[in-house]
Amino acid sequence: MLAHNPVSPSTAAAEAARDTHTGASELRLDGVTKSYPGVQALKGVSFSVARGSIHALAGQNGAGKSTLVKILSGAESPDNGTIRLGGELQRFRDPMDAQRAGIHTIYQELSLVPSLSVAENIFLGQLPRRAGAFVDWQRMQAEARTALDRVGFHLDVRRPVGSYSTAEQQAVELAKALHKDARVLLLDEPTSTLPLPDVERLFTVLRSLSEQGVTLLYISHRMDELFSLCDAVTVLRDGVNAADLKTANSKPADVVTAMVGKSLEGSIADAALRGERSPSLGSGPRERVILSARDLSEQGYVENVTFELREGEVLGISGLIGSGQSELAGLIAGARRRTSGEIRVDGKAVDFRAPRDAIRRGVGLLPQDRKAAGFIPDMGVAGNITLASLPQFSRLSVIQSRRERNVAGDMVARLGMKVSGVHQPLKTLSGGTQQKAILARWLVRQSRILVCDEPTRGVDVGAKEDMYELIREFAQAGGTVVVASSEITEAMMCDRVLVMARGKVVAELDHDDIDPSGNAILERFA
Amino acid sequence: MSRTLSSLPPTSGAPSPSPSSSISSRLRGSALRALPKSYLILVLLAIIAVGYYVSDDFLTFRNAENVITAASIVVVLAIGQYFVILTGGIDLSVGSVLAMSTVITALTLQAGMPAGASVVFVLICCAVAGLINGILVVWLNIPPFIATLAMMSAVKGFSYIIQSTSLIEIRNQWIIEAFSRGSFLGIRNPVLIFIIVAVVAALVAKYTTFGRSLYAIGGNPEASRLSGLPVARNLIITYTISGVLAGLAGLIAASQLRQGSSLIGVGYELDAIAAVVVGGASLMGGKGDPLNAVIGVFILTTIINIMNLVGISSEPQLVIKGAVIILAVFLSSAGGVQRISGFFSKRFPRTRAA
Repeated sequence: MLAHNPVSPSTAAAEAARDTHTGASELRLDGVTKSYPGVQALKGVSFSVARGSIHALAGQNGAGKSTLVKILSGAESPDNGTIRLGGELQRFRDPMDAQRAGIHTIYQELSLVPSLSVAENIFLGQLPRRAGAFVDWQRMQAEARTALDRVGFHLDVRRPVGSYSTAEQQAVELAKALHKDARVLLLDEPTSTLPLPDVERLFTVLRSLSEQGVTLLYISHRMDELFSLCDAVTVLRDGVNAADLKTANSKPADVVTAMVGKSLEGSIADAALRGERSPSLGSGPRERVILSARDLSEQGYVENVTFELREGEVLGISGLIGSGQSELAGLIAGARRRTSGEIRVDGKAVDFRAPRDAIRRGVGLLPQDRKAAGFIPDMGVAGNITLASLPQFSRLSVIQSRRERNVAGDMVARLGMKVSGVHQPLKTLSGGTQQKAILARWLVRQSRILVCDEPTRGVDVGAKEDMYELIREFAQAGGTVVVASSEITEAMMCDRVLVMARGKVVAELDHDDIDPSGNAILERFA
Repeated sequence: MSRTLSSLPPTSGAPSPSPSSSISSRLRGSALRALPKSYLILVLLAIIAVGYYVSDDFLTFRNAENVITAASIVVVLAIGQYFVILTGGIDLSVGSVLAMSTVITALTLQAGMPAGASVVFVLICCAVAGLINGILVVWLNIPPFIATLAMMSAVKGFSYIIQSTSLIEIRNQWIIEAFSRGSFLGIRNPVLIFIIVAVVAALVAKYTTFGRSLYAIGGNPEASRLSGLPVARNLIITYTISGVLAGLAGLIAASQLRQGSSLIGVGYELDAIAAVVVGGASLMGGKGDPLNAVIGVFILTTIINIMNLVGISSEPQLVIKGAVIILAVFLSSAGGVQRISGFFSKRFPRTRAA
């Protein structure tokens, strides 16, 4: 990697002195503050990013990351403090201002127009003209190809963007930024929606961009990414930079400790981070088979899967994204329809035509895409928690409001949800709290089998730990859990793991069969 | 499995956010909840004040009675529309169903059917029209806008066919008494009907599992399905209710006009939709309050009434009505209040720095 700029919480003067004889500082923030009515989101953030480096920005939800992104991208202006780009003082009035200065932001949700061609997307808002009025298609396509070459992708620039995969669309977004002469690229959790092989490819692209002198500010929750990709990390906590570390001489545990403000020693996430064997979440299976599947198939997604789920165990279904683990979870929870095969609950064959059939048998689903399938955004915490149990919370279909409020209050306290009241709309809460509310929905429904589809996607480190703890508690109380996940560390926490590839179960491993680095699972993905 | 519940430790960081943030978010939460409603009532009061100022006849008992009676038909339609919009749908067929209701009422009475039986028959017919809407939307997966647009046309054509003459007079005194002229405890029957419908709607929306499920379906249909709510069934019921309420509004209209005609109620569906959105509901679904839809009707009806009193002709009336709809929606649901206050805090930042 290029010039490692040592960024430490030392005085600004010392830092400036160092800048002169190492890589120059491309982006530099000094004492940036921002408050919203009632909340001070940033209380003084100062750090500097060396030109051509890959600099990570880490922090839990609510630490101020998203506010900082908004400020750097020009969507919001800081109350106090300065932003310098290549030494020049900047004041962005709007996102166009920031882009003109050379700061481009690539959000998790890509801002492309799916129905327009790749070339048109790259040139959006500044189509090259010929004779004043006509679009110069040839020049546009040629330049689009050049821009894509810089990110190492070769796509048909005439095809609509929507026909390409997420990874390819991301490349288009990168090419678009490069075409507009981006000096600094802000990447907001770019890998959260990418399958593993594409993540590697993206990293290769990012490294080559940094070698070309583009400065990258990389926002992510994932420690392995920070350490394999980035040169330095700035950790935000409660609106200040809690730590500025060089990745070369620090450990993932240092970053996590700075993020949560306390040592995670002995916790599940810590064990996983240190590459140790994770303790099992479950209390071990009992004899009784609670659910079984035989030759279960959904055409095109899941093929002839047979397994038994024992009461009290935590069963992992592991696979790369798109290997069918998510679909299998959906089949068990009645969210998807099987095309053939059989599911039995308590030994009796069942026909799950809709989620309510599975719910009635005691199966609850924690869906993968929380926003699209998990909760009702404008409804309060209490309403979301009792959503699957309305008949139990009503008499003659009149909702018993006080009982609902009490039970929701209990859940909020037990699961440690950070809310201002049980009627706070769920959309105003953090991802982790939303996930807990959905879990609470199944606890209140007294579900026996909890099916979790990627339970910690888009959830920060602290909330991740909470989720694992809750799954563990659910299992210890006699509940049974299925965890479908593309994260190896999560599979390693299960009592038993079904490894899936291309819709089939290719291996079944016991917790003890899995080595600390998860190779036993990884090598079966191929 | 109550073990699962009780075994979870009651500790692990009970909700104790910093007091400042909790108070401010609570304040903001309650303010947001109260704002649309209070603004609507303020808008209505402002309009009434204007009416009082510009016309001596406005604040009279007789005129108030006229406004309220005129509003009753649209209120009943708007409440049905409200539930459909709450689920994220729309019902364009209510005007036609209302017309069909007047025609069937007139026809059955003319044929000598007893008034009570006629009422029941009319409501069943309109329920079937709503049921078909629901089935088109749920089972055939046709977008509500298109399904109900098609029904609007089909029902209108059907009314023409069964009507066969230009209009059919209604002479049955029982019907006229029950839905138009009669009164109970000094309240005219149509007003009584809309008050009952509005109160029942408000209670259903707020306190029943059905109401709750409509908010959920409108807010996130997939999450509702995965939570086991009877999404398909409740959607069909909602469209059926809208049909029945359009039929009820048709009974009121038929009794007031003493005739049945397929030309009655043209454009009423748009008045109902306008009232619902003026009342702060989102066309995306999942938000709103049926009583606000009622206030929305009164805002629009009162403005028309004032313009009639001061002698503004009907063409400028339409323009002004359009402007009022835009203004009310901007203030109540399009975030106009926040944007205006944001504008001022940006222009005069000194107040915050001090």
